[in-house]
This record gives sequence, structure tokens and C-alpha cells, in this order.
Amino acid sequence: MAPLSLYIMLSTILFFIGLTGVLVRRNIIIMMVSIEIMLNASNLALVAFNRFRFYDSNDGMIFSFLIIAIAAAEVAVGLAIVIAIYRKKKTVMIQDLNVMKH
Amino acid sequence: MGVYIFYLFGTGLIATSIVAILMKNPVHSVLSVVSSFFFLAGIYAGLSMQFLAVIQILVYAGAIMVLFIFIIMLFDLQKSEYSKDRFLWRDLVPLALILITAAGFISAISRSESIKNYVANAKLPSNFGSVSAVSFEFFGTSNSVGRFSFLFEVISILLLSAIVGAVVLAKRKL
Amino acid sequence: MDTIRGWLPYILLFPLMGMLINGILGNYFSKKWIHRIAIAAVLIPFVIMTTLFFSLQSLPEESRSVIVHIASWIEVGYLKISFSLLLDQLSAIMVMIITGIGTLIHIYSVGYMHKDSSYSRYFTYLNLFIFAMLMLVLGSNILMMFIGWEGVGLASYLLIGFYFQEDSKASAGKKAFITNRVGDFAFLIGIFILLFVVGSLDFAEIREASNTGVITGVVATIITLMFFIGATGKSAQIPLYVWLPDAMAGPTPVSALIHAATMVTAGIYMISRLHFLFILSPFTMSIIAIIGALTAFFAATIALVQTDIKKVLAYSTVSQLGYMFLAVGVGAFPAAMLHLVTHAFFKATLFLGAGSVIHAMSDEQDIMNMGGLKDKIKTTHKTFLFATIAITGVLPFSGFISKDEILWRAFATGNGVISNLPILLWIVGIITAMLTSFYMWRLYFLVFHSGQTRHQDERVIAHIHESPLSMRLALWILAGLSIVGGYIALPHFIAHSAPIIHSFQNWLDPYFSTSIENTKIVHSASMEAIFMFVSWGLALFSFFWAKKWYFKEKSITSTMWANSFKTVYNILQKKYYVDEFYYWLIDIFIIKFSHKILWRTVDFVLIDGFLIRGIIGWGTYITGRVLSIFQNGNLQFYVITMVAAIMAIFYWMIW
Repeated sequence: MAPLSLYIMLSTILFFIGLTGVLVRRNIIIMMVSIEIMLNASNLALVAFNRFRFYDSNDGMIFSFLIIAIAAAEVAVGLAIVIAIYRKKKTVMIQDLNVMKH
Repeated sequence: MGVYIFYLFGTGLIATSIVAILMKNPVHSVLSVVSSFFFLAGIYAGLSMQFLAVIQILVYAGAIMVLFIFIIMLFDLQKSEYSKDRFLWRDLVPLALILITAAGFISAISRSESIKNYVANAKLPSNFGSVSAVSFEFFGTSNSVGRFSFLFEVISILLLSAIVGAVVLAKRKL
Repeated sequence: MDTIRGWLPYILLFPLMGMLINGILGNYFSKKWIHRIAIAAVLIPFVIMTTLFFSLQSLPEESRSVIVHIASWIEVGYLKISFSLLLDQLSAIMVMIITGIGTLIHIYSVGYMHKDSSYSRYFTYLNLFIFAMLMLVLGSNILMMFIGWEGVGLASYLLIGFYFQEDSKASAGKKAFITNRVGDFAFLIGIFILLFVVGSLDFAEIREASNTGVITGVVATIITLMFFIGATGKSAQIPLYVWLPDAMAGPTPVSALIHAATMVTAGIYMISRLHFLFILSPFTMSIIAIIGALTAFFAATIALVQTDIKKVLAYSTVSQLGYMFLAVGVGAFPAAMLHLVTHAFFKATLFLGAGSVIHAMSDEQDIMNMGGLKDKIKTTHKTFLFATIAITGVLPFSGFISKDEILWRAFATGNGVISNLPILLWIVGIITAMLTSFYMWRLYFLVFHSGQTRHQDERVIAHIHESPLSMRLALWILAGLSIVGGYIALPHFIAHSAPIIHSFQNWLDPYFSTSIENTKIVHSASMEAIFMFVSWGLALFSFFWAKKWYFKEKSITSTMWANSFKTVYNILQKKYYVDEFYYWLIDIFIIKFSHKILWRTVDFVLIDGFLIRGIIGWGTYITGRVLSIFQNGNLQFYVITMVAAIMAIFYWMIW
């Protein structure tokens, strides 16, 4: 079985892939998908630490469940906001949504 | 054997994730993420987290990402709309930042002795990662309260408020 | 002991409650309930204190010092200041005086203020004053004392400016407040130095430090001089006495309570409380004695020619306070406390009597318009007469005993840097006693005798009436105390044969035990009797002189004297031009300096031009323009800056 450091590196790479998606994509839906990738990266790190270091408890897994629940809530509210924006502006591109400037 | 499965799933995870953030069409992107979640579930299973792997597929891939697809269908985005999102030269700045930071993180992880020394330990508790372990932590036994019972209730309130918020936000007259 | 521990906080609590109830809800009460609450808020502490006094007396002499810890207040490093109360021989006497006279004056005020529309405001302020004054005397550390010190200053300001609709009265309040600030500033500096040297502000620890030599002579001189400047502000001594005569703008009961009986004696109390510190510095003690004697003398000379009834009494108060400072300056702390007590009695009587006269004369204060009131207001006349006898120092009355004690101690105590100081102090004191006798009899004769009432308005003369019962009650009690109050401490040469009678000193001596060793008495007690008859004789001489000039219609002689010594008369009339001198100083140093330097140069050029328009104006504009680049509405830009910051922190940490 692979050592812990490989799992953590995988988690880090996944996190930065998600971050890249947030930073360079301008489609709000894809940005949100990237945020999901980042959340999963953190889940992976939690679970890996649980398995390798704190294997006499299940705390990492429990927190992964909580993060999934929070992700569900975030997606529900976030997509509702996207719907509201799309109704108003007929776009999901973030460069058209800078009315909060100044 | 386990190492090869990890490499296989890990490579698949990274590849599908990269594809997900490169796709112009949101539907393709979401589908790619769904497949990446399957790989992630495989890695969870390899870590003896069977229940989490099942939840990852059922809830994350099956419910949350399907919600994305629903929304995209609802918008009925045209190609002319989503193809406005193209690569610009100024995106090299965040890319460079991310590469530098990621390189630093990964080298720090690879150099860290404390992380490197941890390898799989054979003496796992019998209920590790199982449904009974989760239910014990969340609900306790018949005569005691679990450690995370309160957290569980809080999460339920959070989800309820998210539902209310989503309904209010998505109403036609805001 | 436990009784005292349990009940002592209530002494502070009741005036506070009275103040809060009347202050917040006073407008909804009838006048009857307002003064009932206010009087109860002072009377109950007096009753408590009386019982506590006896339980304190039942304790053995060396443990008559009870500290009640209420709460920790400030704890920063080595600095630990607790909110705790201290009841010992000294504070017990002060609390009795404050609550006792305070109760009487509350009762008097019911009659005096009955027509006033701001009835609840008046009693709120009075209770606030009582609370602050009790805090001052009961605090177990200097900071607690300082809260009370500032609290009584505030109450005094509020009550002097009670009739704030009149400009002059409002500015009299401001004058008192600002003059006190000068003293308080020095007091604060003294506290800081003391804190720096001793590391604690507890009286017990300061006493320990001064007895063990932690505080050296020079430091003690600086600290005590600072404290003394604070005392000159609060207790109206040269050079900061100017506010007290103006403080008579307040209602007369307030003058009696605050500006004669209690608050102005706070300086005496403070010096007595910290006597162990003051006796470390003979220089400061000499300064205090000299300032006290000079103040006594100059204030008495000013009082000779004043025509406002309250102004005469005000300068008399300043003069008597000078006596007390003379006493503490020569190390006769018990004598100073004794004079404080007796002065509180007779000066309160005099002020309340003056208030009664003013009340009868429809708010007329000029004694040249009075006269012949003897038969019209009999109670006031009698009580005023008793108090006058007391203050001028005739034997069976209280003022004689305390004043004689001070003069004898001034002469007998060999504590001075100037070799002939004791004899000089005694001479100044005895002359002042003569002057005191003169101006008090002059006041008495001009108000109550000297023919018919000289007021122009017939209606005022017709309306002259005796005051209501509440005022007469307070007057009688206080007049009685002015007569017998001195018997708590009989002169030495009598007390030697009957030591039990000399109880006031015996009561206080344990507290001042350190000072008694330090001030040696160099003359025998039999000389005290001789001095006593000298001062008595001088007082009688003044009495006959005043009677000759003022008993009948205003005689030619006094006018003639005033004309032939016109310069002196004018100087006295103008109070040595001290106010004018202070105004001139303020004009030069504050107004002109502020206008030319501070306003035109510092404010216009430096602050407005350079700082505000230059650094702040342009600096803010340019910084704002630069920073507004970062607020461009682009969500991803914000995340990029965040990532850059994370990167920076990460690389900084692993370096």
C-alpha cells in the first residue's frame, strides 16, 4: 500500500487543480465544479490522515461526511444564486458580473 | 498490488480533474468530475473507508453533481455563450502563482520526515470505516449520546436553512 | 469586627441608591418623596456609622483599623489596586461628620429649596456629593481616594452652577472646576511618583514603605509637595483659593455642606491620612505651615471689608482652613482634625444662619442693606450668635478649644527649617484670631443690630419672616454642637488633671503614633494657659472695637478710617487683585500665546497646512488611488491576491 506522503501529494495536486479552475475559468458553473474538486481534495487528506495516523478512531471520516453535507448545502444555495443571476443578466460569465465594483 | 491500484486511480483522478477544468462545455466538465469522483471512491475503498466510498458515489456523484447537470439543462446554454470563456494571456499570472505555490507545497510534503514515515498499519480496529462506526459516533448507543450527535443536529439545521435559502433565492420574483 | 465588615459597604450604598433613584425617577415623584428618599439615603448611613463607631471603640486600640475588601479593581503586573474600604479612627470621625452634618443640611434644604423647580436635581447632586465624599474618606488606597476627590469636585461643580441660567453662576462653577484641575494635576503626578517608588497605592503599604526608609527624603519632598498642591486646590489655600469665594454662587445649604464643612477639608484629611509620608519631609511641612498661616492671615484681612454676607463667611472659611493647614504643618494632626470637626459645626451653623437671613430678606445678600434683624428672626439670631462666639474663640465654646490647641502646638512644636518659624507662626495666628473676631462681630452687628433695616424696598422689610421648622431644627442642632462640640478635647493644662476628658486625642493618637515621636514639644503645658488668655484678650479687644463701630447705626469712625486708609481699603476690597492678576496671567500666557503661536502658527500652518492638507490630504488621496486598483470588482483577482498571500506566508514560514 502506498505511503501517506503519496496520498497527501495527491490531495495537494487535486487541490491546486481545483484552485486553477477557480482562478482561470470564467464560467460560474465550472468555478463551482472546481470548488467541489477542492473540497474533495481536503476530504482525501482528512481520510488519509485518519487511516495512517489516527486509525483507532473515525474522526477524519466523520468530518468528511460533514464536509459532504456542507458541500451539498453550498451547491444548493450557490446554484440558486446562479439561477437568480442568470434570470437578471442572461449570462453565467463572471466578467459580466462586476457591478459591485466601487 | 495495492500500490498499483492507488497509482491507477490516482492518475485517473488527476486526469479527469484536469479535463474537468479544461472543458468548454459545462456538461462535459461536470461529467468528467463525476468520473473523477468514482476514482476517488476507489481510493477511499483502498483506505478501508467502504462506507465513505459508497456515500461518495451515492451522494456526491449521484446527487450533488446531478444537481449541477439539472441546472445546466435548465439554463439551456448555447455554444456561443460558454465559448466566450477562453484562455487569455493574463491567466498566466495565476497559473504561475499556483505552480510556484504547489511546487513549494509538494516539495515540503516530500521532504517532511513525519509524513513520509507513515505507512499502512495492519492492526486496524474491526469496525474501521464501517457503518457501525459512523452510527456509533453520530447516534451513540442505546444508553449514551454519540460524540458527534450535536454536530449531526447542527448539520441538519444547516441543510434545512440551505433548502429555505435556495427556494427563496430561486423564486421567480426576488 | 464582623459587624463592621458586614455593614461598612452599606454606608456607601445608600447615598448611591438615593442618587440613582432621585436622579432617574425624580421627575415622577412628589417633592415630599424626593426629600424623604434623599434624607434617608444620608440618615441611614449616619445611624449605621454611629453603631459602627461603638463597635470600633470596643475593639482593642491596635486593631481599630478594618479593611473591607469588596472587589479587585486593577491588576496589571505588580500593580494591584483593590476596591476596598478602610475604617479606622480617622475615617470614622470623617464619616460621622459627613453623614451627620449632611443629614442636617438635607433637612435644612427641605425648607430652603421648597420653591425650587429643580428639586430632584438638587437632592440628586447632594446625594452624589455625600457618596463621593464617603468614598474619599473610606477608600483604602490613594486611587479610591482620588475617585472620591474627583467625585466631590464634580458634585461641587454641579452645585455651584446649580442656577446655571445665570451666566455668572455657571462661570463660578467652571472657575471652581478649572482651579481644582490645577491642583488635581499635581495630585495625580504625586500619585504616579508614589506608585513608581513604592509600587503600591495602599495606605498600609505606603506607611510600611515610609517607615522602613524605602522613600527617601528628596522623593518624599517631591511627592508631598505635589500632594500639597492638590490639597491647596481642594482646600482653597494660596495660591489656588480663588474659587472658594466664587463658589458661594451655589445654594446656601451647599455652601454650608460642601464649601465649609466637608469637601474643603478633604485636603486636611488627605494630609492627615498620609501624615507618615509628610513627616518624612520637614521642608514640605514648613511650606504647609507657612502657606497655612499666610492664607489664614490674608483671607482674614479680605474678610474685614467684604459686604456680601456669604463672601465674608467664604473668606472666613479660607482663613480657618489656613489654621488647619498650619496645624498639620507643625505636625499637630489631631489638633487639625479637631479644628476640622469644630469648624464644621460652627461654620455650618453660620452658613445656614446666613441662608436663613437671605431667605428672610428675599434673596438679599448685601449686609449693608440688612441690620436690625435681631427681633425679627429670633432663632436665626440666637444660633448665629452662638456660632459667632464659637468661631471667635471664647472659652466655653468649641472654636476656642480647637484654635487654642492649634496656636499652642504651632508655638510649642520645634519642627521647622527656619529657626524662628514657630514664634512667627504663632504671631500670625494670633493676629488672625484677632482679625477673625473683628470681622465676625462686624458681620453679626451689621446684620442683626445697627439700628433699623436699611433695605430700600419696603416690601422686602415687611416680608421678613422666620424660616420654616426644618431650617430651624438644623440650626438649633448645629448651634448646640458649636457650643459643646469642643468638649471632646479639652486643653492640655486641664486635661492633664483629667486625662479621660481628652478623649479626641486619645482616640486619634494610635493612628498618628509615628508622628508624635517625630514632633517634639519644647514648651511646658503651663504656657498654654498664658497663651490662651492672650488670644482670649485679643478676641475680646476686637469684639469691643467692632461693637464700637458697628453696634449702633453705622458710625462715622469706620467710614473715616476707610477714607484715610483708602489705598489699603481698596486693596482689601479688591481682594489683593489676585483675580485680576490671574486673569492677566491667563490673558498673557493662554489667550495671547494661544492666539499668536498655537492658533496662527501651529494650527494654521503646521496642522492645517502641512499635516492635514499635506500629509493627510494628499497622502490619503494617493494611497486611495493606489489601493482602488485592488478593488476592481473582479472576483478572481481577489482570489489571486489571496493565493499570492498564501504563497508569501508559506515561503516565509518554511524558510
